Order: sequence, then structure tokens, then C-alpha cells
Amino acid sequence: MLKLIKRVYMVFKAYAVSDLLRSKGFVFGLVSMSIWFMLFISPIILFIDSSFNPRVASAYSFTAILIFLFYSVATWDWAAEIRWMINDGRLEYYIASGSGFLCHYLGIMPISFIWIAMAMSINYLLLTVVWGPPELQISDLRLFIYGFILLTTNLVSYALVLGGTMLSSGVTGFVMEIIGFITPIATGGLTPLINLPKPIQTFALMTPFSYPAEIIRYILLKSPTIMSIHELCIRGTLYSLTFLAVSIIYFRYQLKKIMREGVRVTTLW
Amino acid sequence: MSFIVLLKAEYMLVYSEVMRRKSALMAIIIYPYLFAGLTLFVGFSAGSPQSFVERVGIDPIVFMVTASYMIMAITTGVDDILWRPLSDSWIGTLVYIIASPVNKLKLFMAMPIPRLTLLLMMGFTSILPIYVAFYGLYGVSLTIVVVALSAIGALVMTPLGIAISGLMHVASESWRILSIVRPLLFVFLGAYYPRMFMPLVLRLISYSIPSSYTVELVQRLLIGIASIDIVVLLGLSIALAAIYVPLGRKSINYWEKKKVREGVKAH
Amino acid sequence: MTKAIEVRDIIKRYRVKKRLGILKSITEFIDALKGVSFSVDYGEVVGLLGPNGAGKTTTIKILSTLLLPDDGEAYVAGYNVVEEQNEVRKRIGIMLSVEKGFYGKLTGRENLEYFAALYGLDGKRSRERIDYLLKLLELDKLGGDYKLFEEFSLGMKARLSLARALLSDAPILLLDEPTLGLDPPSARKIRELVKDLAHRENKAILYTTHNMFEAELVCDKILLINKGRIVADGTPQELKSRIPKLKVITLDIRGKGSIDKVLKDLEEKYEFKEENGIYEVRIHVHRPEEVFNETVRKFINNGFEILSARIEEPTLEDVFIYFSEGSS
Repeated sequence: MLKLIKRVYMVFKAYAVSDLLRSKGFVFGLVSMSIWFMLFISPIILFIDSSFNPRVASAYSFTAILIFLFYSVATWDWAAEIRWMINDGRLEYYIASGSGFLCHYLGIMPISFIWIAMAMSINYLLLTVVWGPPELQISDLRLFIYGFILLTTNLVSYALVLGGTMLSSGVTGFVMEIIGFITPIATGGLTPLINLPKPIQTFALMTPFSYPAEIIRYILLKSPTIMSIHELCIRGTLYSLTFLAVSIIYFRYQLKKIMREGVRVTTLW
Repeated sequence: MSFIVLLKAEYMLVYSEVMRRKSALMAIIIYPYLFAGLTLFVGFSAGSPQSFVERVGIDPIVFMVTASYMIMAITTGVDDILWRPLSDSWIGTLVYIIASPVNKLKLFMAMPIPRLTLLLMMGFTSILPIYVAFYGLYGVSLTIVVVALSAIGALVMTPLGIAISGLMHVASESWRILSIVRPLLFVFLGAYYPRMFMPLVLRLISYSIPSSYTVELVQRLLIGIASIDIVVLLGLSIALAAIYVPLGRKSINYWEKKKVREGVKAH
Repeated sequence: MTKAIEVRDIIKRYRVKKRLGILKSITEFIDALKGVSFSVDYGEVVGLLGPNGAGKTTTIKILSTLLLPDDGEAYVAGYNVVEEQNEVRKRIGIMLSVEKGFYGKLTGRENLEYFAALYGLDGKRSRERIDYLLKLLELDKLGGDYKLFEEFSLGMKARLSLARALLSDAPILLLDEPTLGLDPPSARKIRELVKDLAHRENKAILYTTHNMFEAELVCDKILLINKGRIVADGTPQELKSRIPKLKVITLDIRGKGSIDKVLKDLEEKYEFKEENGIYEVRIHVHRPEEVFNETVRKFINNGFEILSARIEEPTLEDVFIYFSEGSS
């Protein structure tokens, strides 16, 4: 256990130093992200009726972007890490070292969360300027934390599936970008499920992603849910655990596959 | 050194890359719809299309798809100028380009044209179906006009793109600066959020971007426009582009000198 | 006649950040070149030989107009590399990296067409030149016409890299470790071509390498560079003759007599060892031609059988070590 903690710490330190401190990625990434937020939010304003409470609109945008960022991190930090390892020639060393992927991901996850926290602070400021301070409230802290644990679990599973697929098929960055865009929309990540067209609603409820998103929106925004909170929690948990089990099996299978067939070459994009 | 020779070489390079990398081709076709679709989806869920029509004066679907197409057309060309020094550096071709006697300004002027040509043709897969669905046969002529104006918008953007590229790539990790410059350009073009709604400061910055005038022209066309505006807006965009040409030349020369002073890496 | 390449007291300094912790660092200057001078004539291959970090690539980059020197002067085809960069660029072909430097999604031919355009070659002239080069480097047989660069083997990449250097038929070639990592047949092909280009086509070639054996094979003249300085220069033979190292006569012999008895009158130092009834005798001499025949006759007269004989000369590695330690 101590060995694992040490390894996790070394991974965290390596990424924090190289990506956050020395390469100034932190600052540039935040600035870039805030500009993309502005680009995304500004046309949405044009859809809002002038009589609508802007602070409520602000709160909905805040929550949608928060969830979108979690999806982004799962795609571009966690799943794409496999891709970077292949491109840099690090993957073979990782596999040969026997240290496993668990400590690597436990090391980079805190960096992703630091990133999200800073990005959401900027997002909060931006929305305050555009619409006013988001009207957010955490009505049940335990449920809120539970919703985030569920969301993180689902996204880890998603990253394992995407990352595993990348291992054996060398999926391109373009495909990842499409998946990264479509997944949060199609799985009810960005808007309350009640507002979605029926077919998309049905599809979203068949995926594990919609449940934690609904829970978080309910806690933060008091938005109406498509089913009772109790039911959301039970279903969400069952879906998440199943998804996690399947994703781990799938990832391990892909690892075995590349031991037989070799790692795929990925393109720069 | 003949510009046509360079242009032919760039066409070969870009088209080979696009045709042999299907994802790149798919990206060109799909991206206009992707961002438009995302915005429309969230907008419809968060608000209503009626509010959009009341504020902007045009159906949101037509507006968003047009905006996406124009952004793609204008920034696709500029992207080549902004990204090529970086990608050439990463794959190791930059040393050979700098060590060659080619006129670097001519090379940068030739760079955006091939991908731009491709994207302009894609207008007939992205905006034509939407325009025909909304406007019938008139949609065809509207498509031609919008494609032509997008082409002008992309071309007038080139000198500014070269000026930015030269200044930006003297920094180390210039790709991080690029990650800020690109979305900023998107914002100031005023394609997704018309500049008439922007605060004064942002609007003034937008006025300095040559392509923003062609974007505004297209938006006014879609809403309804007096003919004098066409001449004024087009004239402004071309005049502004002409002002950026000497800046672009100086910028590229500065970039080349700086690279050689520090040492061009062969990777 | 103007020298093809002339370098006078070139100095190049690099700024390096020395990390002392996560956030703390200091800036230091290291001298990559400390006053390097040499020249290259047309029709010769001059090797720049030295270990990693000696300054070889820095020198090539300065001459290729890819790096500015901090002091000193360099001329290529009579043009100053700092003030007349474009004139220099029209007259050089360069090969910097074997593995990279091409567009992955283009074929070998398409890559050459692209770079030909950068050199102002177009249409028929470009096609003819590329056809010629693909044939010369045997890339036409290896699929250089239709395979994408990313599918090339390392040997093919090296050949394509040399083809690019030859595209504009420049009179001066700057080749930085052109056979690095190549298999023997590909390396040999490149070496033979380089020699041909210099001796038949009168090109001036500056060839960097850290491989002593290769330098001896390819180069008419060698410049030994270490820690930013030229420590010695001359033909391979001249350099070897300048060191006091002894040559070695090695004889493999078989017989029942006493080696010491046979060589008791020999003034030179010798040693021998025995394995499975065969003796390996090594005699250290300054002038083997005086000792060899006499020694062989003595062994035969004493009943020994000579199985093999060879004379080992000092290698360039010996030369380099000798001059490097001297310069240190």
C-alpha cells in the first residue's frame, strides 16, 4: 500500500511540475478555457427571454459547464493519456515496469480536479459578469458528494473504455473530439432530462451518465427530476457499478490484446 | 520564385494529408454542424427560438449553421498559417524550410489556399441543404453568395494571420498561446454572437479584424440589407487587410531571424 | 580558387537553465564552439569527427544558416553565412536528421516534389531530377514512389533525406551523421554515394560523424573536434602517424619450442598467451617492416608453424583519444 501511495505521489509530482508549473500550462489553459466558455455561452444568451431570471440562467450554465468539464477531463486527461503515452513511447515502459495503470491514474486525477476547480472559478466570474452570480445552493451535502462520486465513477469507466479502445485500435483525436462533444449532450449531461426530446430522454436513461447529472442539478438548482431522487440513486448506483465492472474487464482485455498484437500507432491528430 | 509553383506544392501537401487521413476530411464536413448543433440544442433547452428571432431577426438554425460555416472557412485558412510553423517544427521539416531559399512570405501566403478551396466546396454540403430547406431555390443563390463572401473573409484574414503567426511563434510553447488566440479570433469575428450585441470595448477590437466585416455582411444579408452596406463593409475589410500586409512581412522576417538566432531545431 | 567552406574562429555560446529544484533555477552559459577554424575545398569530403556534444551539429547548423554564431566568420561558396544567408541557401544541400523531416502522409516522391518547389524547381526539371535521384538511391525499387513516408524503413528514410539534399544539385553538401542507426548495406550505399559526389561531381562535402571507422572510409580529410575545439586535422594516415603509439605484429603460431628462446634477442616488447596449443604472440614495434620478416624466419627456423599474421595499426580512436587528452 505504501508503495502504491509513493508511486501515486511521484506521478502527481511529475505531472504537476511539468504541466502545471514549468510549462505554464495551467495559466494558458485557464485563459483558453474561459474564452471558449465565452464563445459557448454568448450565443445561448440570445435564446433566453428577457423576462427570465438571469441568475437562474447563470446557475444552469454553471452546472452544465461543470458537468461538461468533467466529461472533457475524462476524455482529454484520462482516456487521452493512453494516446500520449503511445505517442511519446512511454507506454511500453509502463507495461514493462509492472507498476500498472492504477497508480498512474490516481496520480493524475488530482491534477484534473485542481484544473476543474480553477476553471469553474473563472466560469463563475464570467457568468457573474454576463448574467449575474449563479443562483446555486447545496440543499443536501451528502447527496451532492454522492452525486459527484457517481459521476466520477462513470467517467472513470468511460475513460477506461475509450482508453482501452485507443490501445488496440489507435483511435484518432478527431474521433475523440466527436465523442467528447456528443456524449455529454446525448446522455443528458448538459440540460435537465425533462427538457430533452423523448427519444434522447429514453437513450439518456439507458446510460449511466444521466443519473448523477440529474442528482447534481437537483441539488444545485432545485431543478425538476425525471424520476424520484430515491429511484435516481438506486438506478444510478446499479448502472455505475455495472459500467465500472464492464470497463475494467474491457480494459484488461485490451491490455492482453496488445501484448499479443502490439501497440497501435496513433497519428498526431 | 514562382508563387504558382509554391501553391501547387501546397495543394499537393494539403490534399494528400486530407485525403489520406479520413478523420481530417470528416472533420471538415462535420464541424460546422457539430458546434451549431451543440449551441442549438442547449439554446433550445435553455430558452426558445422565438426569443432568438426577436433579438437577432433570423431563424437560429440558419444563423448557427451559417456562423459555423463562416468560422470554419475563415479560420481554416488562418489555422494553416498559425499551426504550420509548429507542426513543421514537431515533425522536423522546419529546418529544411528555413534553410531553403524560398520566399517565406510567399510560402505563408500560399499555405491557406488549398484547405480553403476544399472548405468552400464543402459549403454545398453544409449550408446549401439548410438554405434550400428554409428558402427554396433562392437558397442556392444565397449559398453561392455566402460561400463567396466567406472566401473573401478567409483571404483578407491571411495578412493578419501571418502577422500573428510570426509574433507568436518566437515564444517557446507557442501552441499554448495559439490555444488562446484561436478562440479569441472566433469571438471577435462576431459569427456566433453578432458584434452589434457586444460591449463597446469588444466591438472596437472586432473592428480591427478584417473578416469581421464580411461576417457582418453575411448576417445583414440573411436579415435584409441596403446595397450601400455591401460596398462599405467589403471595402473596409479589404483596406484593413492591405494595412496588415507590411506587418505580416515584418512579422515573418522577425520570426525567421529570431529562430536562426536561437537555432532552428532539427528534432 | 575560392574555398567551398571557410570558417574562421567561430564562437557559439548557449544559454542553459540549470534546475536546482522545482521552482528554483539559474542560467548558465556553455560554449559549444570555442574558436573553430577550418576550410573545405571542392572535390573533397571533410569529416568532422567527435563525440556527442563536441560541437559538430552546431557547426553544421551555422553553415546551414540555421544558427547565428556569436563571433567569428563563416563563408559558404564565398558568401557570408550571416549577411548573405539567401545566397548561401541557394548553394547548399543539407541532411540533418535521418528519421524525421518529412511529411508522413506524402510518398517519397511527393515529399521530394514539395521540397523541390521550395528550391524553385518546377515542372519538367523537378520531375527529371526526382526520377534521377530516386533511381540513384534505389528508392524506386524500394517503393519510394508509392509508399507513404510513415511506412518507410529507416534505411529508406536516410536515402530520401540524402535525395532531398541533392535536389537542387547544390555544389556544397552538409551532412550531419547521415548513417546514424542504419543497417550496414544502407550505410555502405550512402558512404559510397558521398565519395562519388565529391570525387566525380566535384562537390564539397562536410560530413559529421562520431564513427571512427566510417570517417576513415569516407573522408579525404578529418577534423577532430572535442569540447568545441578542433584538436587535430589531416588525412587519416597523417593523423595516425602523428601519434607515438606503437604498431603491433600479431602472430598465431603452433609448435613445441620456447617462444622466449626465439625472441630473446628481440629489442621490442612482446607478450604471448597459449590456448589449445596455439600461441598468440604480440610484438609492439615502431617500424614493423623491419621486424616482421626477421621474426617470422626465426619462428620457422625453430620449428614453429605460422597459422596467421597481421599488423595492427593505431586506429582513429587511438588518434582521437591521444589528441583529446592532449587538448584537455
